[in-house]
Amino acid sequence: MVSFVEVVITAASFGAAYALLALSINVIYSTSTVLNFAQGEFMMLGGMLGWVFYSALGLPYWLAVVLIAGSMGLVGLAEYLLVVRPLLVRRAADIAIMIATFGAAYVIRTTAALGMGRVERPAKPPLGQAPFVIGGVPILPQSFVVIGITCAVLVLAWWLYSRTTLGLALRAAAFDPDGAQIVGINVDRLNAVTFAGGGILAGIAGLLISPLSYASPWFGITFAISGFAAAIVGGLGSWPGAVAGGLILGLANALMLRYVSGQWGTFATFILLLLVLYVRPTGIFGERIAAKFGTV
Amino acid sequence: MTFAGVLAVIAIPLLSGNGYIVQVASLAAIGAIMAVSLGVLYGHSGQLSFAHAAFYGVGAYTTVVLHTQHGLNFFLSLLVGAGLSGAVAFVVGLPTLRLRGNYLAIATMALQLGISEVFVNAKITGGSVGIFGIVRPTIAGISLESPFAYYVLLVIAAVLVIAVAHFLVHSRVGRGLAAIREDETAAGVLGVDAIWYKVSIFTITAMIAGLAGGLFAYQLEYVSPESFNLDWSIAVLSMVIIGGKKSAIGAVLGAVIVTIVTQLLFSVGELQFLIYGLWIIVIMIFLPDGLISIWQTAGRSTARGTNL
Repeated sequence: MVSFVEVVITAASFGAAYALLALSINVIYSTSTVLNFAQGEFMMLGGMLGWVFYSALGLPYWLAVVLIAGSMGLVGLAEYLLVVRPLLVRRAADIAIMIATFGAAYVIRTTAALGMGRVERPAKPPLGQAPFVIGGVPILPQSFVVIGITCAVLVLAWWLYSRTTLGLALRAAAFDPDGAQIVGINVDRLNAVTFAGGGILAGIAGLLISPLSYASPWFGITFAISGFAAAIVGGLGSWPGAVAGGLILGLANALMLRYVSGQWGTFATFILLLLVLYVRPTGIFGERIAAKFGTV
Repeated sequence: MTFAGVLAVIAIPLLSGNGYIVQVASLAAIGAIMAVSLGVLYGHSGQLSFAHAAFYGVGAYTTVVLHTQHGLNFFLSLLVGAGLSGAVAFVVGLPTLRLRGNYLAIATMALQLGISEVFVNAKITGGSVGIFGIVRPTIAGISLESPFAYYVLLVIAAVLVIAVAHFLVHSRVGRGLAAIREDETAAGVLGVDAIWYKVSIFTITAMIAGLAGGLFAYQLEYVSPESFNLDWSIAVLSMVIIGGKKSAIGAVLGAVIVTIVTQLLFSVGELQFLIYGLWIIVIMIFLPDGLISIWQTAGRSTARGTNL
């Protein structure tokens, strides 16, 4: 029983971080329909920068969060302006854009490895390593940090999306980009905003998860597959789907880690994906979105 | 005329007598087989696969295990390798090919990474170390031990695959796929069973990738997981796009260009993947429809010029 509770808490911690990454994927996808495969690298970079700012330089945690949000917003914006926008302007095929985002992923990964070292770094958790024991179950303090900050970010994102003019414009552009353009919404500028937002969300996800694993320049692709799997298990473009998909992925990974081995995580993710998509080809919450965007 | 030109280009590496040039040309020939295979799948049926390197790897390991480790006939081993790649594609294709566009892209990427993990962790593949001690075969008394002789085999294989691809595209299956690509619903109404056609072409192109993998294993004389990872799937996709997705000649050209660029980048060491990433981005931005589009655009502007 105790070990089961531990698994659930591990699942919720990883699941929360994957949910943030899936959300960042959906934020970008909803407006531009671009699958940005560099987003796993955004998450990796968030973790690496977290190690630099908090563990190595010893800045206060809140300042590290702010600096990571700021720099990852800029990285997302740069990717949009330098890589994705030129392709959207030329009306390039989806596949050309996907491959170009892989190009961006290579650039980010190599830069991180050259700039911050090619090794795995132990990231310092802000509340320390000593587990809290609640009802006989030892819980890592970082689990509270991950789940707490994720919930706060989700509430903030929901507020932005549903209660502000920017959110209204984002929803309009996601629903009908051409129509939004006609009523005076600058879709190009919104895309820029969503890439910056995607960078921030993924970067924070990376910062949060790094004390639970490590910070390493090679983790981006593993993050990417978990985030994209979470996004499509939940249904591409769906916000509740991102949270549900993230938690399902987190649970699957935690169960594999606890009862099988850490070596088969990606294979398990693939099997899970296959099963979910066999039952629901557009993911759990994805029906409406897929009807609109799902065609080749 | 064209035929003589093609023969001349193929012969250059042999006449050069330079081992390095033959090695690069051999890798380009293998890349061409992969690009033609993926070009048929993507260009003609509109299906996206990020898993072609996985099928390539299944073919490579199977061929090596059967031929080098168990002494089965080389061609038979290649065929079984291709067949096993096709079997994996068939099993995975049935549930995934109902998916469209972006969902299929992510599902095949997950398949690629999942199978890469099997290559790294399984015993039969030699784990992350891989399998050494592969010796090129002797066929009908002719030793392919020399890279020059093996290059000839690779060229023959590439020509055969191009012929098969040509046949596929112009066959009943190819026409059905074209109909599905243009309008799946309409094709369905006309009695084209979309899933059956998609699974067939996915399986066939995966078999071709498996064949390429088997041939590759004996070119390199060594197999390890990093030859069969997502990077290789992306490289092949970039060959297809650079060539212009529907043309076999384009795919070959794309394979030659990407192979040469990749080989040149080995010499820059740590910066290799940085430059490779930038190259992919620049190529996608400036040639999103491939090199073929340059000819087409040139042709179109000439035509417009005469109208004026």
